Amino acid sequence: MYLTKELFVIPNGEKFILYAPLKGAIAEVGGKTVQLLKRLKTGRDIGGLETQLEPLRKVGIVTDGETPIESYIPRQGYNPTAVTLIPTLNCNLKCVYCYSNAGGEVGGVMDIEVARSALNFVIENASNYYNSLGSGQHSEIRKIGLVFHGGGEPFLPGNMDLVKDAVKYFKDRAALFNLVPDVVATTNGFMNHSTLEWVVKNFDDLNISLDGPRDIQNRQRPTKLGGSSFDQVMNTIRYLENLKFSYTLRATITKESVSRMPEIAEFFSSISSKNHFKMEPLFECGRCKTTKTEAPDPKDFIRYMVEAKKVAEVSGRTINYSGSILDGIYDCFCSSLDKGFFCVLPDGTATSCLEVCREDDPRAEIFIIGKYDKSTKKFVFYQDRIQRLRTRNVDNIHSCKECFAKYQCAGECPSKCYMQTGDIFDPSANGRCEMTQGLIKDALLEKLKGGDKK
Amino acid sequence: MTTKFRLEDVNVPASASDTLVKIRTVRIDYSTKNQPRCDSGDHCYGCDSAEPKKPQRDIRVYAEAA
Repeated sequence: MYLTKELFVIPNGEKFILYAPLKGAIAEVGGKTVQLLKRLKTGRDIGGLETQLEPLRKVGIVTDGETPIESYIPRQGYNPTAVTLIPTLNCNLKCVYCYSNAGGEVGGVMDIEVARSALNFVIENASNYYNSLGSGQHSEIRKIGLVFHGGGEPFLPGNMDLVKDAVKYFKDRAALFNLVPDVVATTNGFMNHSTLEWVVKNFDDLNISLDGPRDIQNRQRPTKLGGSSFDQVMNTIRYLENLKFSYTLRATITKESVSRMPEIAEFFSSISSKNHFKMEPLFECGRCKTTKTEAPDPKDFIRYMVEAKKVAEVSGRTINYSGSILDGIYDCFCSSLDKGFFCVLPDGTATSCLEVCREDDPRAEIFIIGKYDKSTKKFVFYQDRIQRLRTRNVDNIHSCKECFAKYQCAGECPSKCYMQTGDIFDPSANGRCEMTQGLIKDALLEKLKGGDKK
Repeated sequence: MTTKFRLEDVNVPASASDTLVKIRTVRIDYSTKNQPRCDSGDHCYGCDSAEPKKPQRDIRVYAEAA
């Protein structure tokens, strides 16, 4: 009788939660069971008490032996099948925490030639990928993604020629290759009506940033000239609701708004028919430095997220924070560390992190992975940087090795780690660790409520 | 903040008075949908990919190992 290799023990009052993420198994036990498991782990006699551990054997926490976990081997080749375009770093809002400092100086808009080259690249990759699949291996889906994101606001009037051309070109080319286009955007929702009408006809989904009721939204997400954004964004949401358009609401939570998370959950439930909302803690960077906007205290964020979830549950909704999703296990935080993320900045620079969107960013030498070459009209990629990022797996991060949340947070965001410690492998200064641990523990306890008592 | 949660890292009072038979267990049904883990939103394809939803490499490896 052995213990599964990845077993974690989380104290919970007088009891303990056993969590074996690779088995998808959770158990709540008392101190005597933990003492017994300690004896088992160190090879000591457990005095004929094996049968008492039968419930743990049934869920795989106790085993008769396991095949060793294979070593992590970084992926080779860079053939992304989706592209994120940041048409501009300009914005009509001037959010107090903007990571890219958008809404300040006026910059350029991406050339159509750059966008088309990026689209050609991912269409060719996707076509090759799907054609390489045997029949029956999902080959019928043939999905390909185009995303517009900030940087700045993708739906500014000055961007729309580029956006419209890119969407039409993408869809036309996808049809030629028998691919199914998925066109989505993250937007601040502050757009004029004619743009909105066009967007709902041509996009499949939107992610809208809205920080909560009027006073929070207007304080944290004012217009570029300092005016209020709430009414315009609400007009957008009402329009999408009337058309039953697919979208998600996402709120950034600051130190100032954290205690109002339950109220934000109630507000979202009152204005939207969607079943799922996102709330993310502010990460201090960009404009936070000048506005002195602060991240929420981790303990406050955990406390009020739990309360917000309860409020949302009343109307059958869920609230998620990206670090606390329990229903999957991952060892790479994002695709920049694995398959490869392909995001193109207005000047044709390719980045593997949405937050690294300026060449003077201290993280540029890590995350800027390529550049559009005007002479060849193709992208040139820095393969050494792409491969270096791929060496970052949660098993290679020392401070994550013994953490029970390692397969949910997957080592946290390498970009944020670098901002804080100068090392993509060092998440130790990141407040999100505490939030993730607290909310994963809460999620485990919630799961246990529906478990079997033996 | 504690980052060590292995059996050897937890202290159990020698006087622990619970009985062994009170064990509550539950299984997680892992989704094959890749969930976003960064805070940039659901739709950047940074966690997802355009390929059909399937378990990530690590899940396949571990499932085979188990």
